[in-house]
Amino acid sequence: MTAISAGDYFTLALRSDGTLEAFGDNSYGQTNIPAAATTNIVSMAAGGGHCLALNAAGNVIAWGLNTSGQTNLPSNLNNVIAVAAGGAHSVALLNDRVSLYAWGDNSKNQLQMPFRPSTVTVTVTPSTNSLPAVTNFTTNYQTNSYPSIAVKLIAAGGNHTMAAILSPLVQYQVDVSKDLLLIYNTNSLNSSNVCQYYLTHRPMVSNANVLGIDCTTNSVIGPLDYTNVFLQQVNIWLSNNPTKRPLYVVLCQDLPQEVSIYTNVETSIGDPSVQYQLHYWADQEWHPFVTAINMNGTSGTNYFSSDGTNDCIAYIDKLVSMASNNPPGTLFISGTAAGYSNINWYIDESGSGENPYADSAAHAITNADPTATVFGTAGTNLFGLPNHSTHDTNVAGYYTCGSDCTFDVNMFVNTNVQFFGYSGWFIITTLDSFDGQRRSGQASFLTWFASNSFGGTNYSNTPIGAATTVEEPFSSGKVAPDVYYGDWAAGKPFAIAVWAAHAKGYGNPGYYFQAVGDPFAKK
Amino acid sequence: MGTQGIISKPLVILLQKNKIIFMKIYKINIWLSVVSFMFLSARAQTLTNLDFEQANPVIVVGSPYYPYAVTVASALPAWTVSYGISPQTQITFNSPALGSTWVTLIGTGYQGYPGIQGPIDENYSVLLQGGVTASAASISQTGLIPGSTQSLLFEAKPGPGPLDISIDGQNIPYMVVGTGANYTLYGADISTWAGDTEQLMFSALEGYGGGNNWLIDDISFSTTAVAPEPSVFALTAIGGLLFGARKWFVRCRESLEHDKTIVSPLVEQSDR
Repeated sequence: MTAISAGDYFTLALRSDGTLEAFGDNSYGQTNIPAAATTNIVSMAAGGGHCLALNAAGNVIAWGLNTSGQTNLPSNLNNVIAVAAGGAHSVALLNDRVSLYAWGDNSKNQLQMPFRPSTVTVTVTPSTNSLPAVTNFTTNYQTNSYPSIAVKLIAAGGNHTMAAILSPLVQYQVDVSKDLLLIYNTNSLNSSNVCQYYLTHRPMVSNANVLGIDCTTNSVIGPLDYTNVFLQQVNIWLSNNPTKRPLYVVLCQDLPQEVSIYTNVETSIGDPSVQYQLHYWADQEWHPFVTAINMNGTSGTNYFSSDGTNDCIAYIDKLVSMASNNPPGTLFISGTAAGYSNINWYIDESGSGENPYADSAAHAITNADPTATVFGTAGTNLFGLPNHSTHDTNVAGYYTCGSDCTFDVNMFVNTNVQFFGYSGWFIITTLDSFDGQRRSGQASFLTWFASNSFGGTNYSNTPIGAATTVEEPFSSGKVAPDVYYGDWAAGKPFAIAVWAAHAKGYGNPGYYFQAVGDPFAKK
Repeated sequence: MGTQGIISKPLVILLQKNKIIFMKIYKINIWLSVVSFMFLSARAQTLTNLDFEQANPVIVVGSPYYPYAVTVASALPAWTVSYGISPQTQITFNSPALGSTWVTLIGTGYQGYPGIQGPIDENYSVLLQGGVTASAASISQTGLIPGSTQSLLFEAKPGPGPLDISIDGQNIPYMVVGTGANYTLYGADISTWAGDTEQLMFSALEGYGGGNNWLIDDISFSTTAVAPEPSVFALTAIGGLLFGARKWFVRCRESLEHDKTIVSPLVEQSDR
């Protein structure tokens, strides 16, 4: 069984093979499963005396008590992603996550939503029920300005209905069979190996969806190849899985990182990241949190390891190791829950007054976690630039301006920067513009995840999450460190913290953003 | 019957020759006028906007760098911006690059990039950034260097790498001649080009981890020759004196030790 739902004196159960079982009171035929609902069912709901089933094609089947029209499906109801059944009313959420349908009994206004984001459309049937004047949210109900408002969950009680709006401030229960999509490159053995290793070793993700894409292994993909090869295969998967719109997508090693749209040869400016393209433009209403397990570059652009998968495998092993100290059955692997004693945050430039973003990051951390200790550098070096934090202990978060502030580009692997103590579970970003490139440039994220990075051995000091940029974001286009570190300090999962930080940014659209790390890792 | 019948053939030839001479004189006059005009125009075309205060940044909608993209013409009137040898039409306003070769107009109150806290002076300064992999970031302008000029001065927050300054394509050496509260004053001897119309160029060179960022302002010409700032001069002088004194001391000691080596056997002998 993969799901159960209890109605009034009867029960529905869903098997993993997509078949239903119904038992209990059958006064209204509610346990008589219709032929259309005998196979390919992915979700169901039991109401007062009626039942709803959702099949893999995104269609709803209803049966049982129909005193208030609760089994009279609205016309053209398709692409449904979730259903809920109340006492005598029914609710369906479409896969655009902004369209809700509600029908049946409205005697207690259970079909009406008095508050909703302006993007959510509510359709009520029968048509005799009219919608009241809708009051949109006028207050900023999420402190971080994540732009994509969508409905995450729906539920129906006896005479009421609830919808949960997606917010980075809320951590939802994740069903990886619906909410997680792993993508790998079918032209790279390393890519498929990393994907398979993640599936089989990382706890709680074995039921995730997997998509192999036949595309280039180069870090840069042309715009036509992106649209007609890469994106087309993603869209086909979405089309074939109308009931699934995974909120979390993980790109495994050797998938392209940038789409060469604007590249200016002189300045190397303008290419958006594949993650940005997927998040904003793959589908008008699908805005997943995309991250990557791609700690190592393809052969030929692989600087710090003799094998293309070592760093990725070691990263996954680190997740496994930390999970072993978390409560059993934990998807969100937490360092704190495992008793990992990293309590210090090192934020270059905070307190110097020269970078207000760094200052606000320091404040956000202490606001989110009053027990946190934030170390900021002050003063300037020979060139008038802020001093760096280079020898740190028990690191929970690290922010530096990197080689842009006269650090050596190999600073993280040549012992210029060394961490000590519990420093193997932290998040990082730098002010370097090309830190997300697999090829040469400023201090690349590949150095952050190398076995000897930050003065460690055997990956002892590698981060658990990283915000990077594959191109020039300008100082106004980097992730907002106050959100990034603040949300992480508050216990948000990496994917949410990093994408909320991207959404706020410094004001630019952030075409270049790339997140590296497990989406469900937590402080 | 025409006039040709009245005028003799030699006279016609003479008139034609005079006409040719007249036309030549006329053409020379025109040429001289044009040259004079050009000369006068050139004299009138002085170097302008040397303090960058003529900026009136116009945002370029639709640019990949929007909303920070501004036209060079509006942000840096009279100046040309180049990355390497490629001229640019857009720069950014208050949004420096983080490793690319780039030119940014920095306005009052700007914060957000390490080491840059608004302009050096008044409302605007220019940030030249030598990128990590691409070529130098340059601004240039062609105009008249005043006749009595001895030196070029400019204020800057220096980067870790070189800033090349060239006149007429020739790099000129410069030195620290003073310091202000938030800048270093540099000076260069450019007396060679006084009174000439030349191209003046400032270039922040690439490399240096993408961090060769030079914020410059208040370029000016001085009729006074450059000299190192007193403190630098004094330090150099003191350093020279100390070096000389050390050499003298070492030489004396060596001399004494040399004397000792000569004397010691005698001493030993006498001890015995």
